[in-house]
Amino acid sequence: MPRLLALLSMSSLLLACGYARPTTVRDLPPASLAPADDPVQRLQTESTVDGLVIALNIDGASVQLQSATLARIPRPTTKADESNRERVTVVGFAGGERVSEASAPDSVINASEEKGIVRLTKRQVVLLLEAPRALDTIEVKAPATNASGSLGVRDAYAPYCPSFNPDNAYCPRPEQGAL
Amino acid sequence: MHFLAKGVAAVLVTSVCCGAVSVTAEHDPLYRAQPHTSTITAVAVDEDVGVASIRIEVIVGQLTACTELGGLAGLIPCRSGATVSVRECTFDNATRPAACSFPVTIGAGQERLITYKAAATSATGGTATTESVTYAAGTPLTQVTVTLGPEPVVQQWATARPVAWHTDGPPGVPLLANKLDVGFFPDVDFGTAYDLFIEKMEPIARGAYLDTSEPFSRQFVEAKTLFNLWVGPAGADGDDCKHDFAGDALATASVTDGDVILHQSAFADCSTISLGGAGTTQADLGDASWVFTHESGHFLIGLGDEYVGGGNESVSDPRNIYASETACQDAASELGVPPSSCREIVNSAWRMRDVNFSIMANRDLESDWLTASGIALSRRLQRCKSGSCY
Repeated sequence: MPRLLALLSMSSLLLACGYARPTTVRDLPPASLAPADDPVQRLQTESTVDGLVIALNIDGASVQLQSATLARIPRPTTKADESNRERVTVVGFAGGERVSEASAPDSVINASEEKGIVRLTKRQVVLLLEAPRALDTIEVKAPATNASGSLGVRDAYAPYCPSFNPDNAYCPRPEQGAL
Repeated sequence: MHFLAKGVAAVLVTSVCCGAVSVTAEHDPLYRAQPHTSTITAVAVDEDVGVASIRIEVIVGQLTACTELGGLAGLIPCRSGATVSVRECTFDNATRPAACSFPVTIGAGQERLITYKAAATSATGGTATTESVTYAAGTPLTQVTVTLGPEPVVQQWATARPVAWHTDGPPGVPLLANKLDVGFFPDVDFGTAYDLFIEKMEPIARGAYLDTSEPFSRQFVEAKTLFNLWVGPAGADGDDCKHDFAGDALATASVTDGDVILHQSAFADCSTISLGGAGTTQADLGDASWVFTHESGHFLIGLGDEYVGGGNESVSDPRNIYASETACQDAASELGVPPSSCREIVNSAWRMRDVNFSIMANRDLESDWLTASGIALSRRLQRCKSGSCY
């Protein structure tokens, strides 16, 4: 009934506004769509990878990890635009080996409609970091305020790795001495 | 009626320019996080020989966090149990705009992911099609079960919620890379009134990207297939110039290029001047769509304010603010803008002035993207068309 009412309502409005009325309306019976034929599923299968959603709190030269969450993420693209010199760069490591890198704009320069330019020293940066295998550490550089830091991200894997198992791709290597 | 008025305007624009059959399609409402009926309407026009038929194809399925694909939960939604429906409307070769609608009912507790496209045929067999648009509708997903090992893991989870996601990307282009992805978030001042936020968001998004009734939106509307629009859940906080995201809002903020935090109460808007970032807009303003458009010039394109008292710096390509008259004139020459147009805004801040109102200078619905700002927008959109907006 609500569907019928909506149809009637829309039809009335369309006619009232001078739109031509269909002489016939034909509905083909709904057909199920295989996942392989679904454009959304195809996009997801082709274009997503394992990664971390990283939220950083930067205050002057200090960098803190607000959160790191493991997720299926859109495959990151190389941000090649050099005109924005103030970017935050994050490099992911696993067992000391460099695995991935990502960057995001820093939000230092702001336009306040009342105050003009406002330069922030304290700000948040959110970015996606590819993690084809379990990362244990990220290194962060935010040149705009000379901030840098090395932060542990093992906790992001805790739900999927209750105890270390070298065969589990979602288990980062424990810290040295923790085995 | 707003939707229909906009439809008429869109039709007028396309019919004047092309002289062949053209078709546009939109869904209404843009987004609701509750049970409702979502109506997809395609409008076709061919003033010369008339419209013979309109075909709307709609794919509807359960919105998921992609766990059915195996592996981790996703930030961008997937769909399971999809069905495809087709409606064909035929017309008596109508030379006035012809409309065909398809309603989708979203029931209690359902969150649907819906994709639609429309095609029109003229009386002489000419055809036109729209790009596919995908959107979410209904009660949002809040929890997922991820099975990576022997024990399934149940997690609180929210995907990004597409309002207009253009899913016809060419093969090989990374997901979302060739679009400017814009997220709308409720500020904490909306409290638990999420539906009120959606009510405020909708006219702002429509005014900026879909409505051709005001000149300021002309270029965004013409390029609307290069913009994906998303809404986030609660968890954003725009405090003066600081923009913070927490909890479920992070999922959406992490995949978008630019985020606008809508304020319910009076607020001095502030946006990052960067190639991707965040900003704020006071939702209750009569010209909130214009304000959002102006703010997005800061946080999507890196443009500076071109008025006295604003944020007179830029990181755009090309810059729209220059430190000296000479720098401004040199840039103007390179860009094909008369060097004589360079005007000082304030000490050590110069811009290229146009006789018409500029979106980065004049709070006026008649304003447009002009001189260096217009070129910066055009270059950014061209980059999107080349496969990567940034």
